[in-house]
Amino acid sequence: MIWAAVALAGALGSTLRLLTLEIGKRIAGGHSPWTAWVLNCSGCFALGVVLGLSIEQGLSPDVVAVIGSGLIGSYTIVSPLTYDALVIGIQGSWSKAFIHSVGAILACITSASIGLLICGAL
Amino acid sequence: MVVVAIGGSMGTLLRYQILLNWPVTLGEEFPLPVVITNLIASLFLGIFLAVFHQPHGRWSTQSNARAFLTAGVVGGLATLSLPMVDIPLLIKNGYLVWAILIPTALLIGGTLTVIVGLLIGGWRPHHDQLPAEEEGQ
Repeated sequence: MIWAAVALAGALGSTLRLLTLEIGKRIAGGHSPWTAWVLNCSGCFALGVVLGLSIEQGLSPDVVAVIGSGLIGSYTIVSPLTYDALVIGIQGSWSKAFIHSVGAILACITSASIGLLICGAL
Repeated sequence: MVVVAIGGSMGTLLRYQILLNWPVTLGEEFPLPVVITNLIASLFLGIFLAVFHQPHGRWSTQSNARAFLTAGVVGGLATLSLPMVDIPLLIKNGYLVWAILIPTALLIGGTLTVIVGLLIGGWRPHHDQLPAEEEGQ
């Protein structure tokens, strides 16, 4: 039955991702790369907490599968780092594309580290 | 939104199965399965974006199919949070090279596979604009 729960959580995570991007679009008045930053950083922080609890407190593997792999896994996205960077690069600035992607990665690692730190896993 | 949720659950299940069949210890091994899963997702993102972008192609008006495949299946298959949590744990355990290799492989590999996917899907670099990214792939 665990796969059914993971599938359901995946559907929920995808819907949450869509909603977050839509809300970001409304606030920014159009497509903004910062929306994906907020999305990915919040997801990385949340997974840091879940996996931190799993390492330190022995959180149940089923909970990790449903919340971690299912919900948070489908909520976060990689395409802002690859496809958005490609769009920025082809529009003329590969250095800007590089800074955009590396900055996003560093922000995600920082968010994940904070999540892990809170649980004492770092 | 319903098609994205259905596609998302399928992509998530696929990723869950891949990572279940190919287990890697967090913070102690290079997470090759999740990196490969993301590269496959990037390849298909490129293919789907290009196929649905062709202005007079038979797929250009199928916005539900596009959302199902891109924001849904590909979005569920790809994941950023797991490798990003793995990086600080790898650094903590002294595997600095692997920690640096993860984002390098995701950025360079991901961008290259998206380009290969676009080309497979019929995108021509000097004729066509890049397909617009919408609705959260």
